[in-house]
Amino acid sequence: MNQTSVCEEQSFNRLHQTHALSLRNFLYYRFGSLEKAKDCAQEAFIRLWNNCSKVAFDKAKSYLFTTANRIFLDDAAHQKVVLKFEKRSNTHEAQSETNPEFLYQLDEFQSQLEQVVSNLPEKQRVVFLLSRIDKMKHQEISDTLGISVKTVEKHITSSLKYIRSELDELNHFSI
Amino acid sequence: MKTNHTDKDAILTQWLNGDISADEASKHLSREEFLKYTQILTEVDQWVPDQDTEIFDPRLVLDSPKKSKSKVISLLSWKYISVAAAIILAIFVGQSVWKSSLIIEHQTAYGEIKTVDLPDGSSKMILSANSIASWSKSDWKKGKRKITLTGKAYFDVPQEGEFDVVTSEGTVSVLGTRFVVHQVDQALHATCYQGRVRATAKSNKSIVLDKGESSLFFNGKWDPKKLFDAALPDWIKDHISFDNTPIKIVLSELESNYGLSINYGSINLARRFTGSIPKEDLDQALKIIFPTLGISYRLDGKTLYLSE
Repeated sequence: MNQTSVCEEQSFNRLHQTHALSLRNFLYYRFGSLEKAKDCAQEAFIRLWNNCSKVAFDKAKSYLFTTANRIFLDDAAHQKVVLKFEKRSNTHEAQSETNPEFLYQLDEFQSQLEQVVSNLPEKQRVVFLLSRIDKMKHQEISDTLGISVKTVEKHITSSLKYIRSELDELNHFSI
Repeated sequence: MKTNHTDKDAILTQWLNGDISADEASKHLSREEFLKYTQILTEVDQWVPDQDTEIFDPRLVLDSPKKSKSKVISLLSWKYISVAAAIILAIFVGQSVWKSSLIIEHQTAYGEIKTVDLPDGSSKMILSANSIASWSKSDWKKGKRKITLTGKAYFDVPQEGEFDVVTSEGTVSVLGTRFVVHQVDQALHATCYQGRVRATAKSNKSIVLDKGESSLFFNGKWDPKKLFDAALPDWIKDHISFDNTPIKIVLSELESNYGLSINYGSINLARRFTGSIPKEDLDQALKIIFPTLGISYRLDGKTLYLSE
Protein backbone atom coordinates (compact mmCIF):
# COMPACT_ATOMS: atom_id res chain seq x y z
CA MET A 1 0.00 0.00 0.00
CA ASN A 2 2.91 2.35 -0.52
CA GLN A 3 1.44 3.48 -3.82
CA THR A 4 0.23 7.02 -4.19
CA SER A 5 -3.51 7.18 -3.75
CA VAL A 6 -5.69 9.40 -5.90
CA CYS A 7 -7.75 10.12 -2.81
CA GLU A 8 -5.05 12.30 -1.32
CA GLU A 9 -5.69 15.90 -2.07
CA GLN A 10 -2.08 16.49 -2.96
CA SER A 11 -1.86 13.78 -5.55
CA PHE A 12 -5.20 14.80 -6.93
CA ASN A 13 -3.96 18.35 -7.33
CA ARG A 14 -0.93 17.00 -9.12
CA LEU A 15 -3.11 15.09 -11.53
CA HIS A 16 -5.10 18.22 -12.14
CA GLN A 17 -1.98 20.21 -12.80
CA THR A 18 -0.50 17.78 -15.28
CA HIS A 19 -3.58 16.62 -17.12
CA ALA A 20 -6.34 19.21 -17.00
CA LEU A 21 -5.04 21.24 -19.91
CA SER A 22 -4.25 18.36 -22.23
CA LEU A 23 -7.54 16.70 -21.33
CA ARG A 24 -9.44 19.84 -22.23
CA ASN A 25 -7.41 20.18 -25.43
CA PHE A 26 -8.00 16.55 -26.37
CA LEU A 27 -11.74 17.06 -26.08
CA TYR A 28 -11.50 20.26 -28.05
CA TYR A 29 -9.54 18.65 -30.90
CA ARG A 30 -12.00 15.86 -30.98
CA PHE A 31 -15.28 17.74 -30.80
CA GLY A 32 -14.50 21.35 -31.55
CA SER A 33 -16.32 23.07 -28.70
CA LEU A 34 -14.15 24.82 -26.15
CA GLU A 35 -16.86 25.39 -23.54
CA LYS A 36 -18.11 21.82 -23.69
CA ALA A 37 -14.55 20.54 -23.55
CA LYS A 38 -13.95 22.52 -20.39
CA ASP A 39 -17.12 21.28 -18.70
CA CYS A 40 -16.48 17.67 -19.60
CA ALA A 41 -12.89 17.87 -18.40
CA GLN A 42 -14.12 19.14 -15.06
CA GLU A 43 -16.83 16.49 -14.86
CA ALA A 44 -14.24 13.79 -15.56
CA PHE A 45 -12.15 15.03 -12.66
CA ILE A 46 -15.20 14.99 -10.41
CA ARG A 47 -15.88 11.37 -11.34
CA LEU A 48 -12.26 10.50 -10.72
CA TRP A 49 -12.44 12.10 -7.28
CA ASN A 50 -15.66 10.26 -6.44
CA ASN A 51 -14.13 6.96 -7.48
CA CYS A 52 -10.65 7.70 -6.27
CA SER A 53 -10.34 4.54 -4.22
CA LYS A 54 -11.07 2.37 -7.25
CA VAL A 55 -8.55 3.95 -9.58
CA ALA A 56 -4.82 3.37 -9.28
CA PHE A 57 -2.69 6.46 -9.51
CA ASP A 58 -0.88 5.44 -12.69
CA LYS A 59 -4.17 4.52 -14.34
CA ALA A 60 -5.71 7.87 -13.48
CA LYS A 61 -4.68 9.52 -16.72
CA SER A 62 -6.31 7.02 -19.04
CA TYR A 63 -9.31 6.91 -16.70
CA LEU A 64 -9.67 10.67 -17.13
CA PHE A 65 -9.41 10.55 -20.91
CA THR A 66 -11.81 7.64 -21.32
CA THR A 67 -14.33 9.08 -18.91
CA ALA A 68 -14.22 12.56 -20.39
CA ASN A 69 -14.64 11.10 -23.84
CA ARG A 70 -17.67 9.13 -22.74
CA ILE A 71 -19.21 12.10 -20.98
CA PHE A 72 -18.83 14.13 -24.11
CA LEU A 73 -20.35 11.42 -26.30
CA ASP A 74 -23.30 11.01 -23.95
CA ASP A 75 -23.83 14.68 -23.94
CA ALA A 76 -23.36 15.95 -27.43
CA ALA A 77 -24.68 15.04 -30.80
CA HIS A 78 -21.73 14.76 -33.09
CA GLN A 79 -21.48 17.91 -35.11
CA LYS A 80 -19.16 19.09 -37.77
CA VAL A 81 -15.96 20.11 -36.10
CA VAL A 82 -14.82 23.66 -36.57
CA LEU A 83 -11.58 24.42 -34.80
CA LYS A 84 -10.43 27.90 -34.04
CA PHE A 85 -7.07 28.61 -32.51
CA GLU A 86 -5.28 31.50 -30.98
CA LYS A 87 -1.61 32.13 -31.35
CA ARG A 88 0.64 31.63 -28.40
CA SER A 89 1.23 35.07 -27.06
CA ASN A 90 4.93 34.73 -26.40
CA THR A 91 6.05 33.73 -29.86
CA HIS A 92 8.70 35.87 -31.43
CA GLU A 93 6.98 38.55 -33.45
CA ALA A 94 7.35 37.23 -36.96
CA GLN A 95 9.16 39.05 -39.72
CA SER A 96 8.11 42.51 -40.86
CA GLU A 97 4.83 42.63 -38.95
CA THR A 98 4.18 45.97 -40.59
CA ASN A 99 3.86 44.68 -44.13
CA PRO A 100 0.09 44.36 -44.60
CA GLU A 101 0.34 41.98 -47.50
CA PHE A 102 2.53 39.64 -45.55
CA LEU A 103 0.15 39.83 -42.60
CA TYR A 104 -2.79 39.13 -44.84
CA GLN A 105 -1.11 36.10 -46.37
CA LEU A 106 -0.23 34.80 -42.96
CA ASP A 107 -3.79 35.23 -41.77
CA GLU A 108 -5.11 33.55 -44.85
CA PHE A 109 -2.70 30.69 -44.40
CA GLN A 110 -3.72 30.22 -40.79
CA SER A 111 -7.44 30.11 -41.53
CA GLN A 112 -6.95 27.70 -44.44
CA LEU A 113 -4.80 25.53 -42.26
CA GLU A 114 -7.37 25.60 -39.48
CA GLN A 115 -10.01 24.50 -41.90
CA VAL A 116 -7.93 21.67 -43.30
CA VAL A 117 -7.08 20.48 -39.80
CA SER A 118 -10.76 20.56 -38.87
CA ASN A 119 -11.47 18.37 -41.87
CA LEU A 120 -8.93 15.72 -40.92
CA PRO A 121 -10.42 12.38 -39.90
CA GLU A 122 -11.16 12.60 -36.19
CA LYS A 123 -8.53 10.20 -34.86
CA GLN A 124 -5.78 11.63 -37.01
CA ARG A 125 -6.68 15.14 -35.98
CA VAL A 126 -6.65 14.35 -32.26
CA VAL A 127 -3.32 12.57 -32.40
CA PHE A 128 -1.72 15.16 -34.65
CA LEU A 129 -2.73 18.09 -32.43
CA LEU A 130 -1.82 16.35 -29.20
CA SER A 131 1.60 15.84 -30.69
CA ARG A 132 2.06 19.36 -32.03
CA ILE A 133 0.20 21.63 -29.63
CA ASP A 134 0.48 19.67 -26.41
CA LYS A 135 3.97 18.48 -27.35
CA MET A 136 3.23 14.91 -26.30
CA LYS A 137 5.67 12.21 -27.32
CA HIS A 138 4.37 9.40 -29.49
CA GLN A 139 4.69 7.00 -26.58
CA GLU A 140 2.69 9.29 -24.33
CA ILE A 141 -0.13 9.60 -26.84
CA SER A 142 -0.19 5.85 -27.22
CA ASP A 143 -0.52 5.43 -23.44
CA THR A 144 -3.13 8.11 -23.11
CA LEU A 145 -5.42 6.98 -25.87
CA GLY A 146 -4.73 3.27 -25.55
CA ILE A 147 -3.57 2.79 -29.14
CA SER A 148 -0.25 1.44 -30.39
CA VAL A 149 2.73 3.65 -31.05
CA LYS A 150 2.71 2.48 -34.67
CA THR A 151 -0.84 3.77 -35.07
CA VAL A 152 0.10 7.07 -33.49
CA GLU A 153 2.98 7.50 -35.91
CA LYS A 154 0.82 6.57 -38.81
CA HIS A 155 -1.86 9.06 -37.84
CA ILE A 156 0.65 11.86 -37.49
CA THR A 157 2.47 11.32 -40.77
CA SER A 158 -0.75 10.84 -42.70
CA SER A 159 -2.13 14.03 -41.14
CA LEU A 160 0.86 16.02 -42.20
CA LYS A 161 0.78 14.61 -45.71
CA TYR A 162 -2.93 15.19 -46.01
CA ILE A 163 -2.61 18.80 -44.86
CA ARG A 164 0.16 19.40 -47.33
CA SER A 165 -1.76 17.97 -50.27
CA GLU A 166 -4.87 19.96 -49.37
CA LEU A 167 -2.92 23.18 -49.12
CA ASP A 168 -1.13 22.34 -52.35
CA GLU A 169 -4.49 22.15 -54.03
CA LEU A 170 -5.48 25.49 -52.64
CA ASN A 171 -2.09 26.72 -53.68
CA HIS A 172 -1.44 28.23 -50.35
CA PHE A 173 2.19 27.97 -49.59
CA SER A 174 4.28 31.05 -49.53
CA ILE A 175 7.43 29.43 -50.81
CA MET B 1 9.78 3.26 -55.14
CA LYS B 2 7.86 1.62 -52.36
CA THR B 3 10.84 1.39 -50.06
CA ASN B 4 11.60 5.00 -50.79
CA HIS B 5 8.15 5.89 -49.47
CA THR B 6 8.42 3.99 -46.23
CA ASP B 7 11.89 5.40 -45.70
CA LYS B 8 10.55 8.87 -46.03
CA ASP B 9 7.75 8.05 -43.61
CA ALA B 10 10.25 6.79 -41.09
CA ILE B 11 12.28 9.96 -41.42
CA LEU B 12 9.15 12.04 -41.08
CA THR B 13 8.08 10.11 -37.99
CA GLN B 14 11.43 10.49 -36.31
CA TRP B 15 11.54 14.15 -37.11
CA LEU B 16 8.03 14.73 -35.77
CA ASN B 17 8.82 12.93 -32.54
CA GLY B 18 11.94 15.01 -32.10
CA ASP B 19 14.22 11.99 -32.46
CA ILE B 20 16.18 13.63 -35.25
CA SER B 21 16.76 17.29 -35.89
CA ALA B 22 15.15 19.31 -38.66
CA ASP B 23 18.55 19.57 -40.33
CA GLU B 24 18.89 15.83 -40.40
CA ALA B 25 15.37 15.44 -41.76
CA SER B 26 15.93 18.01 -44.49
CA LYS B 27 18.73 15.88 -45.95
CA HIS B 28 16.32 13.06 -46.66
CA LEU B 29 13.40 15.04 -47.96
CA SER B 30 13.14 17.15 -51.06
CA ARG B 31 13.60 20.85 -50.49
CA GLU B 32 10.06 21.70 -51.44
CA GLU B 33 8.55 19.00 -49.25
CA PHE B 34 10.66 20.02 -46.32
CA LEU B 35 9.79 23.71 -46.62
CA LYS B 36 6.09 23.00 -46.87
CA TYR B 37 6.11 20.71 -43.88
CA THR B 38 8.10 23.23 -41.92
CA GLN B 39 5.65 25.95 -42.78
CA ILE B 40 2.70 23.85 -41.64
CA LEU B 41 4.40 22.75 -38.44
CA THR B 42 5.68 26.19 -37.49
CA GLU B 43 2.16 27.52 -37.81
CA VAL B 44 0.45 24.69 -35.95
CA ASP B 45 3.06 24.73 -33.22
CA GLN B 46 2.06 28.26 -32.39
CA TRP B 47 -1.57 27.41 -31.88
CA VAL B 48 -3.37 27.09 -28.60
CA PRO B 49 -7.12 26.62 -28.18
CA ASP B 50 -7.12 29.67 -25.93
CA GLN B 51 -4.74 31.61 -23.75
CA ASP B 52 -6.49 30.52 -20.60
CA THR B 53 -4.16 28.08 -18.90
CA GLU B 54 -6.33 27.38 -15.90
CA ILE B 55 -9.10 25.05 -17.00
CA PHE B 56 -10.93 25.01 -13.71
CA ASP B 57 -10.14 25.30 -10.07
CA PRO B 58 -9.31 21.89 -8.58
CA ARG B 59 -10.90 22.98 -5.34
CA LEU B 60 -14.26 22.95 -7.13
CA VAL B 61 -13.81 19.24 -7.56
CA LEU B 62 -12.33 18.59 -4.14
CA ASP B 63 -15.17 20.47 -2.49
CA SER B 64 -17.90 18.79 -4.47
CA PRO B 65 -19.89 16.37 -2.31
CA LYS B 66 -18.39 12.92 -2.34
CA LYS B 67 -20.66 10.01 -3.08
CA SER B 68 -18.20 7.20 -2.52
CA LYS B 69 -18.85 4.96 0.46
CA SER B 70 -15.68 2.95 0.18
CA LYS B 71 -13.77 5.07 2.65
CA VAL B 72 -15.59 5.07 5.95
CA ILE B 73 -13.18 7.39 7.66
CA SER B 74 -13.39 10.05 5.07
CA LEU B 75 -17.17 9.87 5.04
CA LEU B 76 -17.30 10.22 8.80
CA SER B 77 -14.95 13.14 8.86
CA TRP B 78 -16.95 14.77 6.11
CA LYS B 79 -20.01 14.41 8.25
CA TYR B 80 -18.30 15.94 11.25
CA ILE B 81 -16.92 18.74 9.19
CA SER B 82 -20.27 19.56 7.68
CA VAL B 83 -22.01 19.48 11.05
CA ALA B 84 -19.33 21.70 12.53
CA ALA B 85 -19.53 24.00 9.54
CA ALA B 86 -23.29 24.25 9.90
CA ILE B 87 -23.00 25.19 13.56
CA ILE B 88 -20.31 27.76 12.95
CA LEU B 89 -22.29 29.20 10.08
CA ALA B 90 -25.40 29.43 12.25
CA ILE B 91 -23.44 31.23 14.95
CA PHE B 92 -21.93 33.64 12.48
CA VAL B 93 -25.19 34.39 10.72
CA GLY B 94 -27.00 34.79 14.02
CA GLN B 95 -24.31 37.03 15.39
CA SER B 96 -24.12 39.24 12.36
CA VAL B 97 -27.90 39.56 12.14
CA TRP B 98 -28.03 40.43 15.81
CA LYS B 99 -25.09 42.80 15.55
CA SER B 100 -26.26 44.52 12.37
CA SER B 101 -29.39 45.74 14.15
CA LEU B 102 -27.13 47.53 16.61
CA ILE B 103 -24.64 48.90 14.12
CA ILE B 104 -25.14 52.21 12.40
CA GLU B 105 -23.37 52.68 9.13
CA HIS B 106 -22.92 55.75 6.95
CA GLN B 107 -21.51 55.58 3.50
CA THR B 108 -20.76 58.21 0.86
CA ALA B 109 -20.69 57.79 -2.91
CA TYR B 110 -18.00 59.14 -5.22
CA GLY B 111 -17.81 62.90 -4.91
CA GLU B 112 -20.36 63.01 -2.08
CA ILE B 113 -19.83 64.62 1.33
CA LYS B 114 -22.08 63.93 4.27
CA THR B 115 -22.37 65.56 7.66
CA VAL B 116 -23.39 63.17 10.43
CA ASP B 117 -24.34 64.00 14.01
CA LEU B 118 -22.91 61.46 16.38
CA PRO B 119 -25.03 59.88 19.12
CA ASP B 120 -23.38 61.67 22.05
CA GLY B 121 -25.39 64.72 20.95
CA SER B 122 -22.55 67.16 20.49
CA SER B 123 -19.97 65.54 18.26
CA LYS B 124 -20.09 65.88 14.51
CA MET B 125 -18.48 63.98 11.68
CA ILE B 126 -18.05 65.13 8.07
CA LEU B 127 -17.58 62.06 5.93
CA SER B 128 -15.54 62.58 2.77
CA ALA B 129 -16.22 61.00 -0.60
CA ASN B 130 -16.21 57.22 -1.02
CA SER B 131 -15.84 56.49 2.67
CA ILE B 132 -17.64 54.32 5.18
CA ALA B 133 -18.02 54.99 8.90
CA SER B 134 -19.85 52.80 11.36
CA TRP B 135 -20.35 52.47 15.08
CA SER B 136 -22.10 50.20 17.50
CA LYS B 137 -25.02 51.63 19.47
CA SER B 138 -24.17 49.66 22.58
CA ASP B 139 -20.60 50.98 22.71
CA TRP B 140 -21.84 54.55 22.68
CA LYS B 141 -24.49 53.83 25.35
CA LYS B 142 -21.71 52.59 27.59
CA GLY B 143 -19.92 55.87 26.99
CA LYS B 144 -17.34 54.31 24.74
CA ARG B 145 -17.17 56.55 21.71
CA LYS B 146 -15.71 54.45 18.95
CA ILE B 147 -16.04 54.77 15.19
CA THR B 148 -14.74 52.41 12.53
CA LEU B 149 -13.64 54.23 9.43
CA THR B 150 -12.67 53.30 5.92
CA GLY B 151 -11.66 56.35 3.93
CA LYS B 152 -11.57 59.87 5.26
CA ALA B 153 -13.55 61.97 7.70
CA TYR B 154 -13.35 65.18 9.71
CA PHE B 155 -14.35 64.98 13.36
CA ASP B 156 -15.49 67.73 15.65
CA VAL B 157 -15.56 66.47 19.20
CA PRO B 158 -16.23 69.27 21.68
CA GLN B 159 -16.81 67.06 24.68
CA GLU B 160 -13.96 65.73 26.74
CA GLY B 161 -13.58 62.01 27.11
CA GLU B 162 -12.58 58.96 25.19
CA PHE B 163 -13.12 59.06 21.44
CA ASP B 164 -11.50 56.55 19.08
CA VAL B 165 -11.46 56.31 15.32
CA VAL B 166 -10.44 52.82 14.29
CA THR B 167 -9.17 52.11 10.78
CA SER B 168 -7.53 49.14 9.19
CA GLU B 169 -4.19 50.93 9.40
CA GLY B 170 -4.38 52.14 12.97
CA THR B 171 -6.35 54.12 15.52
CA VAL B 172 -6.62 57.81 16.25
CA SER B 173 -7.71 58.73 19.77
CA VAL B 174 -8.88 62.07 20.75
CA LEU B 175 -7.84 63.92 23.71
CA GLY B 176 -10.95 66.47 23.03
CA THR B 177 -11.11 68.25 19.74
CA ARG B 178 -11.41 68.60 15.94
CA PHE B 179 -9.40 66.42 13.60
CA VAL B 180 -9.28 64.50 10.30
CA VAL B 181 -8.53 60.85 9.83
CA HIS B 182 -7.69 59.61 6.37
CA GLN B 183 -7.04 55.94 5.79
CA VAL B 184 -5.87 54.58 2.43
CA ASP B 185 -4.31 51.21 1.67
CA GLN B 186 -1.19 50.95 3.82
CA ALA B 187 -1.34 54.58 4.89
CA LEU B 188 -2.97 56.65 7.59
CA HIS B 189 -3.06 60.41 7.67
CA ALA B 190 -4.11 62.27 10.79
CA THR B 191 -4.58 65.99 10.98
CA CYS B 192 -5.42 67.91 14.12
CA TYR B 193 -7.37 71.18 13.89
CA GLN B 194 -7.90 71.82 17.57
CA GLY B 195 -6.93 70.25 20.85
CA ARG B 196 -4.84 67.16 20.73
CA VAL B 197 -5.01 63.66 19.26
CA ARG B 198 -3.00 60.51 19.52
CA ALA B 199 -2.62 58.41 16.39
CA THR B 200 -1.53 54.81 16.74
CA ALA B 201 -0.66 52.77 13.68
CA LYS B 202 -1.29 49.05 13.40
CA SER B 203 2.28 48.37 14.36
CA ASN B 204 1.67 50.17 17.65
CA LYS B 205 3.83 53.13 16.76
CA SER B 206 2.04 56.24 17.92
CA ILE B 207 2.37 59.97 17.61
CA VAL B 208 0.68 62.84 19.44
CA LEU B 209 -0.51 65.77 17.34
CA ASP B 210 -1.31 69.22 18.63
CA LYS B 211 -3.39 71.91 16.99
CA GLY B 212 -2.18 72.68 13.49
CA GLU B 213 -0.10 69.57 13.17
CA SER B 214 -0.49 66.63 10.83
CA SER B 215 1.41 63.47 10.14
CA LEU B 216 1.33 60.66 7.68
CA PHE B 217 1.98 57.03 8.49
CA PHE B 218 3.46 55.42 5.41
CA ASN B 219 5.90 52.58 4.78
CA GLY B 220 5.93 51.60 8.43
CA LYS B 221 6.73 54.92 10.03
CA TRP B 222 5.27 58.31 10.88
CA ASP B 223 6.56 61.20 8.82
CA PRO B 224 7.79 64.17 10.81
CA LYS B 225 4.94 66.40 12.03
CA LYS B 226 3.92 69.12 9.67
CA LEU B 227 2.35 72.47 10.45
CA PHE B 228 -0.57 73.80 8.44
CA ASP B 229 -3.15 76.54 8.54
CA ALA B 230 -5.67 75.18 11.00
CA ALA B 231 -8.86 76.44 9.38
CA LEU B 232 -11.28 73.90 7.94
CA PRO B 233 -9.77 71.18 5.73
CA ASP B 234 -9.68 71.94 2.01
CA TRP B 235 -11.77 69.02 0.92
CA ILE B 236 -14.72 70.41 2.83
CA LYS B 237 -14.24 73.52 0.69
CA ASP B 238 -13.80 73.16 -3.05
CA HIS B 239 -10.13 72.31 -3.35
CA ILE B 240 -8.10 69.39 -2.19
CA SER B 241 -4.53 70.17 -1.39
CA PHE B 242 -1.58 67.91 -0.90
CA ASP B 243 1.65 68.62 0.84
CA ASN B 244 4.43 66.26 -0.09
CA THR B 245 1.87 63.46 -0.22
CA PRO B 246 2.60 60.01 -1.67
CA ILE B 247 1.05 59.83 -5.10
CA LYS B 248 -0.83 56.72 -4.08
CA ILE B 249 -2.91 58.82 -1.71
CA VAL B 250 -3.34 61.55 -4.30
CA LEU B 251 -4.68 58.97 -6.74
CA SER B 252 -7.04 57.43 -4.24
CA GLU B 253 -8.36 60.94 -3.55
CA LEU B 254 -8.92 61.38 -7.28
CA GLU B 255 -10.71 58.06 -7.41
CA SER B 256 -13.07 58.81 -4.59
CA ASN B 257 -13.76 62.37 -5.58
CA TYR B 258 -14.36 61.89 -9.29
CA GLY B 259 -15.51 58.26 -9.25
CA LEU B 260 -12.63 57.15 -11.43
CA SER B 261 -11.04 53.79 -11.69
CA ILE B 262 -7.31 54.04 -12.16
CA ASN B 263 -5.05 51.72 -14.08
CA TYR B 264 -1.67 52.35 -12.46
CA GLY B 265 0.46 50.84 -15.19
CA SER B 266 4.02 50.68 -13.97
CA ILE B 267 4.30 54.08 -12.35
CA ASN B 268 6.19 54.52 -9.13
CA LEU B 269 3.58 55.05 -6.40
CA ALA B 270 5.99 56.19 -3.73
CA ARG B 271 6.69 59.53 -5.40
CA ARG B 272 5.25 62.59 -3.70
CA PHE B 273 3.12 65.46 -4.86
CA THR B 274 2.61 68.95 -3.52
CA GLY B 275 -0.19 71.11 -4.82
CA SER B 276 -3.88 71.79 -4.76
CA ILE B 277 -6.51 70.47 -7.16
CA PRO B 278 -10.11 71.57 -7.77
CA LYS B 279 -12.92 69.24 -6.77
CA GLU B 280 -15.23 70.03 -9.65
CA ASP B 281 -12.91 70.10 -12.64
CA LEU B 282 -11.36 66.75 -13.44
CA ASP B 283 -9.64 67.94 -16.57
CA GLN B 284 -7.82 70.66 -14.73
CA ALA B 285 -7.04 68.40 -11.79
CA LEU B 286 -5.33 65.91 -14.09
CA LYS B 287 -3.39 68.69 -15.79
CA ILE B 288 -2.16 69.91 -12.45
CA ILE B 289 -1.01 66.57 -11.10
CA PHE B 290 0.53 64.53 -13.88
CA PRO B 291 2.68 66.76 -16.08
CA THR B 292 4.61 67.95 -13.04
CA LEU B 293 5.41 64.36 -12.12
CA GLY B 294 6.36 63.42 -15.68
CA ILE B 295 3.54 60.91 -15.87
CA SER B 296 1.43 60.70 -19.00
CA TYR B 297 -2.24 59.87 -18.69
CA ARG B 298 -5.19 58.97 -20.85
CA LEU B 299 -8.78 59.22 -19.76
CA ASP B 300 -11.17 56.71 -21.28
CA GLY B 301 -14.67 57.18 -19.90
CA LYS B 302 -14.25 56.71 -16.17
CA THR B 303 -10.97 54.85 -16.41
CA LEU B 304 -7.67 56.63 -16.14
CA TYR B 305 -4.61 54.99 -17.65
CA LEU B 306 -1.21 56.04 -16.40
CA SER B 307 2.27 55.49 -17.75
CA GLU B 308 5.68 56.97 -17.21
